[in-house]
Amino acid sequence: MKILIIRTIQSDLLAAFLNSLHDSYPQAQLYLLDNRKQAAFSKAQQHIEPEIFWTRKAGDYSITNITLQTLRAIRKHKFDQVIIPHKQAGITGLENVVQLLYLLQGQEWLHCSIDWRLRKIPRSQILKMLGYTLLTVPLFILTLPVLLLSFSYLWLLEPPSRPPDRDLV
Amino acid sequence: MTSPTEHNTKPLVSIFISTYKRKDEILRTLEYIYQQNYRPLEVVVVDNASQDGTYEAIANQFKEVQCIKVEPDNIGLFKAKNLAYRHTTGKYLLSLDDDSFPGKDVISRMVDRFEADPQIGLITFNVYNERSFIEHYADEAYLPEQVTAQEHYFWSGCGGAYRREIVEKYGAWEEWGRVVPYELGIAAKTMKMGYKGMNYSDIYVFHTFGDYGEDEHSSSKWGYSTGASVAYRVAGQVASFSAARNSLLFVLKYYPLNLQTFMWLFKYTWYVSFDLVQRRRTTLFKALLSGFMRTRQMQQSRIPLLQEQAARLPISFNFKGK
Repeated sequence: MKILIIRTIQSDLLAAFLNSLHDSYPQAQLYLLDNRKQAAFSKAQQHIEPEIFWTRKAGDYSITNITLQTLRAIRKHKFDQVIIPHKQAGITGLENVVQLLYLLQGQEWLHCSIDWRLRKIPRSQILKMLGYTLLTVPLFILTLPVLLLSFSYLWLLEPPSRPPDRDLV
Repeated sequence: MTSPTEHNTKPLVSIFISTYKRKDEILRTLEYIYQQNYRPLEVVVVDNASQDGTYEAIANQFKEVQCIKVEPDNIGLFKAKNLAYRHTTGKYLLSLDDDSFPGKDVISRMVDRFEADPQIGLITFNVYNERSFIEHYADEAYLPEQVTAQEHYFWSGCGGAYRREIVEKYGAWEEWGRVVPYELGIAAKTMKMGYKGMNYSDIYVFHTFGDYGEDEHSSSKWGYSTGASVAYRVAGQVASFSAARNSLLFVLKYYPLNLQTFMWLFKYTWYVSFDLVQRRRTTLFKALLSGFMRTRQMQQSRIPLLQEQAARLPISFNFKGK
């Protein structure tokens, strides 16, 4: 059994999550998609396969933050489960990661909060997102004048730029 | 422990802490502070209307601590921190929480780094949770074999030190409200002064994340301190509101007025609108309006950074409260 974990939790919770997963599936091969910010820490974790997939930069697991090469490397594996662990009640707010799931070869998409109970992510999630986007457009257009007014106000009153106060060179 | 002669030549470090109803934690924190090998130290604690005997306990057990009592009402963390800061006199200011304390001899190493490099304005501490403390503090296993150093500006108020002159010139902590990104104001001011922020692997605090009571997410179940997530639920929408509004205020106050900032505001407005539709909650939208309503106030207190400086302080759209 192959499981891919997208590390969407703080690294200090990762060990507890991996332990929990290993207890549930002792025979499973656990793969990790992570960012390099805490690479040494992630590499030191028990139970995971040595091949770790890295995003381009820290803090985001969206499609735009993953190289084609990495994506190809991940797609070489057929995962039984792809899991998004997190600390909140639902999957809301992690839509960019859900979008990424469409590009991976995963039989099942799951997410879990820090109770570590695995829950299925419905495949219709992306359609839902599209609907929300369409509904957001009119609201955004209504809000835009507030932003324009605010920015223009700052811009008009800004004095000419000054160099930094201290020159330490 | 440094000798009395050395005291005279070493710079004074001022530690300032705000506490509220955490008597045991603050007493433990003070105990560890005085186990540090560095002197001279000045410790200022603001008891933010605890009314549980915290002030008296500190006054009895730590006579060298300058304890300020706020009553009858709690004035909020940031006003309390600033009140404490105003009573300090040291060259270096070290901010701690009432439930965080520096590792062994950390303050000594911190001062060495500041003194060795006059370009350093801010030192951001690594934060380890209490489990780490229990396992490692006693045998100093948290001291890395090789010390790594990197330029770094994101820090938590539970452990960070900066030069006094930064806040003397540009003011102390923002008093807009709680949560994000109160520490970044200090980081921005550090950059504005031409200093840099640094992080060293051997400079750290232990943090217990306070006590929010036992429930299914509590540390006893997971062996980890998950106070932050519990705090989200306790503070709930207030935390989200503050995080969203304060992020906007930070950008309006510190970011340069260019295309990148405009795009940030554009995305922010989109994100908040999307949140309103998706979650059917008005919290972030109210934060947006509240933030933009303060444009005039931000304009009057603007400390614009250069673009390359602002790029080192990216504000994400994570408005969950931390």
